[in-house]
Amino acid sequence: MKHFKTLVVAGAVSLVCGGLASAGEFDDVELKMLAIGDTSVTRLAPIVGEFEELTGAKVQIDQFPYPGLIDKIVIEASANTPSYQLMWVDSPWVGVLGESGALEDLTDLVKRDAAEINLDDIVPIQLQENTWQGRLLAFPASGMIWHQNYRKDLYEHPDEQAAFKAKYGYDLAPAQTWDQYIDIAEFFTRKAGDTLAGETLEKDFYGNAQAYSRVAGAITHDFFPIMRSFGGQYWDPETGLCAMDGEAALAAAEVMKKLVAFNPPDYLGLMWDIRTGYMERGETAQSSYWSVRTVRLTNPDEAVLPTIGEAGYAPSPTGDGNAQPTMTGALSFGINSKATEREKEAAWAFIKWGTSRDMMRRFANEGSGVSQFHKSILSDAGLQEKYPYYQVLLDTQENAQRRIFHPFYADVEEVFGVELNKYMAGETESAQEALTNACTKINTRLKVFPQDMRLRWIADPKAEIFN
Amino acid sequence: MNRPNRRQAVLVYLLLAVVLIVFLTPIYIIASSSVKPTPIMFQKPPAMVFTPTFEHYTQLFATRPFAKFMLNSLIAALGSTVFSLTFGSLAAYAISRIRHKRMNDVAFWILSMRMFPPIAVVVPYYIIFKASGLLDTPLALIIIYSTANIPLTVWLMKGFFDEVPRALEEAAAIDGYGLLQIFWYVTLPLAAPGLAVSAVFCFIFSWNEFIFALMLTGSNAQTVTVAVMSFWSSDAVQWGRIMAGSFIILIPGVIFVLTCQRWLVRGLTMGSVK
Repeated sequence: MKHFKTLVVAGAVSLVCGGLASAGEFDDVELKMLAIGDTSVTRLAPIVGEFEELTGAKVQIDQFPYPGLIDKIVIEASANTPSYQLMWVDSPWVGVLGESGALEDLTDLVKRDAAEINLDDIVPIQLQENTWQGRLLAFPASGMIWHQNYRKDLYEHPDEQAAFKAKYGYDLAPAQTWDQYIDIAEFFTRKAGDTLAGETLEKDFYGNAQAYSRVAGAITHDFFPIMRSFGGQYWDPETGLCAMDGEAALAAAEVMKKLVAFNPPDYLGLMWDIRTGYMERGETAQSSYWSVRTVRLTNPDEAVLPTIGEAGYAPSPTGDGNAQPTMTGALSFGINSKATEREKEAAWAFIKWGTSRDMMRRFANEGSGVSQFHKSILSDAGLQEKYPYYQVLLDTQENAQRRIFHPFYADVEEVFGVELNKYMAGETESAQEALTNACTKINTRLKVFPQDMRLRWIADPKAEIFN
Repeated sequence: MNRPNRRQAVLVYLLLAVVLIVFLTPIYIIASSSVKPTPIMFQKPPAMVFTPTFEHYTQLFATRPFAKFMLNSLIAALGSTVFSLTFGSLAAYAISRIRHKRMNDVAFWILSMRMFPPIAVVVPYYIIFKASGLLDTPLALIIIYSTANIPLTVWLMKGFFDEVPRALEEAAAIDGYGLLQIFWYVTLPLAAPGLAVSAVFCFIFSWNEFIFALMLTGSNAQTVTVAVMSFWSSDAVQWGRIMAGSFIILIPGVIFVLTCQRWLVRGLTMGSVK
């Protein structure tokens, strides 16, 4: 039955995609894609033959490591006769790629094919994520949301609920504020031999797992959503200089510092990926991270948790009195601006095919539906049962804010990674000192450029596809 | 030479054990993680007893043409090693034998070629190989790696050639040998340990190189170092596959070094005893 369903969906996709380009239309075109081994790519790579059957265009997807890929894209886009016509793009890169002119402007193509690609059904922030100066430079192939994961089975245990209420004076539930988040982290931090949900612990249990590593800017990734949830901004709108040393940034750094005590002892080395491992093994009560990893919490082949407990999902906490400003990210496909017109046409047909709503539904049905960006898929009752976090992802995008997209994104990630890591390790006296150091370093680099250019870099006009 | 007493022997063995632990622990972690089930990969304390799985190895070859990438690496590493030894030893011989006051400067100038930071030259290389149609070919990697390996070979081999007595070459010349014959039949065999040392350094550098392989290859000439790192994506780091790939990557280097070991030891100790 399962296979029959898959066949039916595949047939539907083929029929729909038949409208993308007529059979044999691109017989003379060969496309190569510069990509990584991300789910948005690996779920598509084995079936590119279907696109060739539909359109005649041959597609080859080359997968490279995430570190260094953006440099490869920039170098590739500098060639007059590029080897790659399609590019995998992480949304914070649009600043660098936009300034270098590496990517083709997709605005007019999207407007032209709005009905075909079900533009109205796509979560708007996922499109905005890919804009530079209001122009769409890449099309979402996978959408991700920053949200919190927690141990539902522990939160609902009567003993734990009663003990929490007695200690903190309010009900144990997924944290809505960072103060609550810290309380919960403290409450669930237990030593081996202590009792947790009626069982004696064989090893230590942690209240939270947060990434504090400076490697790959992991700590910066965890810092940004907290800072944004306190109302913080990346840049000063008057000068275009670093504003991540203000009150909101300070509050975020202090939240992270308070959480240190409730983290695993190797917290300073926890990268985003190893951090999620604590949640996946059921060794922590809560952890906030990108939704691309959330799917593991329901898969016993990849995680211990489904066999020992149950995960729950909720929006990321927020600063007191602030609306939930979930941070989003888009993993997307773009077209090399140096490709020929014919290649660009075929590349756009491929993007439409590979990111279509029917294709996304097919992926969801086949089990790789973790990263979705269509409202109708995230709200599908059947799929919500399969992916219990879909509703959270949908709800939180209402008030979402895009990630940092500045051309100096990599510098920010690195500099703040080092300074915040040093503060968490106790090498820097205060959060203010750490943040001031980081902003000073960033500003030293930015001040080389005229103010009007800096202000242009931080401008985020509404995507023109919506006009 | 006095035999060490019992206490000295124990101390030596203890130190050796410490050194062995330091050097072998990373290899143990790689090997054990490559057969460890994903859910317990980073369990603390590390899971020492578990049912091994070869799924990471299976996935390594199932999801990417890893055998092809291994072959690419071998071609690039061996090709560059042979190329560098051939031309490097000839150049070193010339520098060693030609008497000129500026010859040491020439040798240093050649060595300085190795001091270029790779990232500074990657774009020019890209443009050159793109224009010449060599981009994404093993030949491009052989050429690049040789630009780093030849200077090293020249520097190493010059020292070995300097050690070979000229009287032997003069005797061969009297017997009627030409310059190339003297080099091939007399000098080079006596400097064989130097060749082994150079070969090991050239091979290991080429085998492990990452930046050029990342920037200048696609799926046609991708090497194992890039292929293994490509399991680091934005949504997950596939540590199991990375460990499996890393363990496989270790094997050719170990085989190559073991093969050269006999000459390597002689080469490293040559000149230390009169």
